[in-house]
Amino acid sequence: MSAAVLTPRAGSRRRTPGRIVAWVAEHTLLTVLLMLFAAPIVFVALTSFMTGDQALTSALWPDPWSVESYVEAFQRVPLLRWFANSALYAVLATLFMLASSIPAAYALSRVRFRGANAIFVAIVVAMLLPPQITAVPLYIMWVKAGMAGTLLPLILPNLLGDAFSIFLLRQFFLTIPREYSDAARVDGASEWGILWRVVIPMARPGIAAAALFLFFNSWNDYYGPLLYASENQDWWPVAYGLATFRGSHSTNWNLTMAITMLVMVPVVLIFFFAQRVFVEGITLTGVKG
Amino acid sequence: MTIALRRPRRPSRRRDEALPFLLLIPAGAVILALTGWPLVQLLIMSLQEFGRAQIFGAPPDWVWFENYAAVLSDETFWIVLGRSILFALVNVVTTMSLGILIALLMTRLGRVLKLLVSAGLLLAWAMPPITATVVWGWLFDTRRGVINYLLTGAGLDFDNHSWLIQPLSFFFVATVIITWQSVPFVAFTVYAGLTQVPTEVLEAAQLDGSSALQRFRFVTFPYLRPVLLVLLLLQIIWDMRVFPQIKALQTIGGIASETNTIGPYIYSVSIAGGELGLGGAIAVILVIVMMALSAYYIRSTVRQDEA
Repeated sequence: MSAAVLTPRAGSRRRTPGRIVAWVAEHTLLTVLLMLFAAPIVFVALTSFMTGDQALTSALWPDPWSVESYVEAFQRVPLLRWFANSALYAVLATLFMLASSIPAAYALSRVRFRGANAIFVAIVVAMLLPPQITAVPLYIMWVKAGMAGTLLPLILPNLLGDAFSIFLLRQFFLTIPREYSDAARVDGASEWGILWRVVIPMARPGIAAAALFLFFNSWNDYYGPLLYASENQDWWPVAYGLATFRGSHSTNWNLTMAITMLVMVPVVLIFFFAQRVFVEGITLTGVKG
Repeated sequence: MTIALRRPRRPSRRRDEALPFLLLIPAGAVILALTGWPLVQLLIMSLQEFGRAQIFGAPPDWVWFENYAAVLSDETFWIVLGRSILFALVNVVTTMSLGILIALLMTRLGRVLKLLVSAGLLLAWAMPPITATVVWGWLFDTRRGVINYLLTGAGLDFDNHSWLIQPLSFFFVATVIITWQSVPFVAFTVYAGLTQVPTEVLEAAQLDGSSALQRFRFVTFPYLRPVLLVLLLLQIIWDMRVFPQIKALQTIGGIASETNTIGPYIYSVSIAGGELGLGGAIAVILVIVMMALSAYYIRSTVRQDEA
């Protein structure tokens, strides 16, 4: 074991008994975990391919396989409109958040100035408040602004920053060794230059994590649309529509599961964009020299 | 931006001092408006007799600390609070350990497996919370649930077993659902943090003969510390005030009075019960309790860049 550790790279390919045991243990553990995580989704997928009658039985396997529920889902509810609303909400909220929270997080992690800690503690307190409690005063505020009945109260605040994202991004920026930005500063880079050329490229996985988080949160948001857009069907996003649909068609399991599958499709697409950042990590070559 | 790098110049001192504030103004304004304002409203409301009549315009009476006295002398509040803290503790520990474990394992996988694992995690993360609760409630269903079916098939006495009627097994199901949905976020974020650890440092440590455990303890962990801290704090916050999952499980078949945590409790007092003043007082106490519980971590996150 120690010999393999002492010689990096070459050693990692050598097959010692210890390595094989570790390999088997790691892969078994991961397979079990993966199955636990994927199992509920598999049940959802299988049910979505059943006929309406079969979905009410305790059968696990569709017999016959049918896409009836998917066709019916599109006929019963304005799915495309719901998807367009969700896309508008999630994409705009994420883009706005990135544009505003990255600079704020940079200021809080990299620039030393008086009052930084006070501002940071205020951001933490902002996250502690239970949303059920702040909802009433906020709602009254948006009614006065004339924007209740749309998704704008949920999108616009991100334009100027989101407490949670600022916090997460700040912590990721802190993991980047200060030497990198100091080196750039010695070379004459401005703060903007350091942010763009050093911090953002190096924190790409962290930025991706924050963006994914906000995207999913907006895509799956139920209480926000319930509060602001429930009376205006034209603005319903798909997660809210799905919950409403389930409430009024509680016995149509196959339809509910088909819509659930459709809700998750865009997320899979987003994943294929984001996976390069996560799976391949980052190369630091651009920063050296 | 490229020009700034190529042509060295001395930025004026005044611009440098103003910069952090310029970067922070937009976010600061929003946080002030969206948190500061409701917070002030909340504090005022918690000092008033604020019920249904006041929502429809009747002027509220100032009762000062009566709401707080009522909450603190109510046995139910203490039971609910203790239950929430215990529940949050179990969930935070489970979620964090599983998330870190998966992230560490992911760094050792080949490309294809890594893709599979992240896809599985992602789908769990991506399912809307209410749908997730419904799906799990359906898996744990008394009569047609897959889990009873499998356990009975394995020879155990789980035929028509009700998972939600007993508070303890109710919270077991809730823990499964919440862990299932929060582990992916922790795993991805820790993994993102791991990929930011400079490989040169790890290789240098390896050349110096340090073991895998030592490398984690002395190289990876210090780099990861800020990220682990934020995750820990967020999990404490989220699990303490968990709402949709508990509420949805109660509708499926739990007994609300025996399974309320602080989130549904505030909701039942202030929104369903119409006692906004009382609910406000509970919320203020909750914020203070959460700050006390996480004070150590908040201090660490504030101090870490001064070290």
